[in-house]
Amino acid sequence: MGYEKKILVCENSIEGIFSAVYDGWHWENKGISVKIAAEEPEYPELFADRVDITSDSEKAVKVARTVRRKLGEQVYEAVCYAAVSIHPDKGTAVFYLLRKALGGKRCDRHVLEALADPAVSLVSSLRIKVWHEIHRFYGFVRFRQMAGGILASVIRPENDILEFLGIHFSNRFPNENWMIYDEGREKILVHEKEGECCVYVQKVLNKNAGGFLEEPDEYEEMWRAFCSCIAIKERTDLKLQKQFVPLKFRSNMLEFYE
Amino acid sequence: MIYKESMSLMEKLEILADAAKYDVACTSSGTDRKGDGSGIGNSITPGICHSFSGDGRCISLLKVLYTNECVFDCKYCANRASNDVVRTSFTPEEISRLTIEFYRRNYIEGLFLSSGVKDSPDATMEELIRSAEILRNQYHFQGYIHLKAIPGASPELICRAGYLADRMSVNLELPTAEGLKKLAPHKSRQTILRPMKQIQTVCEENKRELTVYRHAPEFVPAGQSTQMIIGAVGESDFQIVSTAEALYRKFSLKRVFYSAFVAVNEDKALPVLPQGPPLLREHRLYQADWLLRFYGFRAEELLSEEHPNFNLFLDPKCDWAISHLQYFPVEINKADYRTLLRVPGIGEKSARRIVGARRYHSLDFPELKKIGVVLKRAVYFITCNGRQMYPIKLEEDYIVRNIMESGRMPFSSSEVTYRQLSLFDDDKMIVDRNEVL
Repeated sequence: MGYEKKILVCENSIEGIFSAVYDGWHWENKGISVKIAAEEPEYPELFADRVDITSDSEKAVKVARTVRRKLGEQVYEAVCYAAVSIHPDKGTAVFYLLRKALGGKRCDRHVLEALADPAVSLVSSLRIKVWHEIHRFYGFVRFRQMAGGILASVIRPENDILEFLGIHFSNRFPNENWMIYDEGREKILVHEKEGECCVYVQKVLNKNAGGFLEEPDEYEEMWRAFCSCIAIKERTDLKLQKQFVPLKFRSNMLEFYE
Repeated sequence: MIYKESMSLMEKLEILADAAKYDVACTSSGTDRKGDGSGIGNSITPGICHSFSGDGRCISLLKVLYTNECVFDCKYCANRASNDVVRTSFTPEEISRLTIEFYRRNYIEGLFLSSGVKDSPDATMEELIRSAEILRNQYHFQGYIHLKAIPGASPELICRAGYLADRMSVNLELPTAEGLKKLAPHKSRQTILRPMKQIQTVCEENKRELTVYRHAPEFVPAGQSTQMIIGAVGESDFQIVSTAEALYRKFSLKRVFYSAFVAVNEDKALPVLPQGPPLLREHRLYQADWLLRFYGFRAEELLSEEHPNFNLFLDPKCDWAISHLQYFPVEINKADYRTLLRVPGIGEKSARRIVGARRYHSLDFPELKKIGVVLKRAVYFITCNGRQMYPIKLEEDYIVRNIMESGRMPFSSSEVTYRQLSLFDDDKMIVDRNEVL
């Protein structure tokens, strides 16, 4: 039997990757090797068929439901975090992790422990990376108050974590109108107060949207003063500070503005 | 004393944040509480750091004093009664508004409210409680609140504060009772330990109550903490670690914080530290603290009367392992979790991952690296399937020399087989601290 390989090119989102996992499953069952690319491959690969996958929410929901039911919330979370990372091989790693856990009628809820497997090892390192970034932004998002008490924030995360921030912040500020804008991806997360805590993710049409923030208010001044007062000058250690807040995060944190 | 009438909120914040900076505990961890939708805020177990100040410490809470007026005269404190500094106070309304406005902008996880003792301990405690009450009841604030128990405040007030706060703390200030008597004449071990015991007792009762009535109000759900000043009265590391261990055992504290002594006052009772605060010593104490809490070590294993201080050149775990070579090497594929935890270079997470991963197949050195084991330290103490990574002598001198040349793996570059002459030419690299400082 000859060697066959398919490259599934899908949309760069959890839904896209799950749809590709759904379609790839049958081919892998037939002994065809599968690769999932969430971005357009730079070079066409020799001896491999290219298949374009259209995102299908029904397929994605099926995959998500199966993973949650059979493998548990922990594996599901790991797979979702890996799927929003920026690593180019994330799709393939997610696919082979699920094959290892569920292929051939298996059901291995402890699959994340099999760290010697390259797919598992990649997914679990991506999970940690993405979780770290989410956790950092839980703290580093800075809202500025605009007219009418609306809170607005601009961030530039490495991984596509906006939706995960939505879960946290809508629980934290249920009675506020707020939005978080992802500069790099030009996406915005909007939360309206009262009623359902809804989270919309949409492409921003106006390219100058970064300039929507208004003038600083007195509390920003007080926060800056607080941050400088709270440091003990005998213990100054700027290197340690940089380790915890790398420069790339500081552009949107007002206490670091000169 | 200098009083100033009508100060702006900004001026007050500058003075009272500056006065609170020596308090170490800025953690927001230990409570998991979802917002119920009625107000503002929630809290997650690991806590969240919102920023880091220029000294590399985390800023998680709005850490301020309620007032810096104080009737006590603790020698090490910038706000002692005999110091001539500008004094001011917040009002409960100011504190709570500031907290909410900072919280909405996602600057902080909540409030850390400490205070000098104004008029009497009870009067001060009342004010702290009032501030927390406004936050909880008027703003329906569900974020984190850390309140100080003022030494000498009445048990009823401590109890009321406990139902409003997530964490409470009473500062032990100094690790020895003699030290406390010398430097903090208005405080005594008794006024410090009494509220600590009370918080522990009520906390335990509350836990039992909560198992029966799920919606009963929670008392200090994130537990209590304390802090001590390091290097102010010439105590030994052994005394400090033993005190910390006793606090964890007898008072079920969540955390003990160590704060390197910073000379803010000139006083004949205080040491002079021309090299600055003993930061490395503080670091070693924190490392030892982790060994006590998570690695199953006991204080007397790490130090003793004869060997009372930590080696400043090696971390406490390495130091322990090197002087207990009879327990090594440890076989990665067979050793139980507790034994793995004692190997330098293997932490809690990697030990757990090793135990999980070896159920699939046996592990070798490259896999250990992937798992997150720090091989440059672990390599001397482990075998994989009976083999060492390199032919290594299990010998004190040899291991110390290699670990000290930080980052170097054995056999990686120029191999030094002779023993290098150095300033600290002592077998165990124990250096009298007075010489180093």
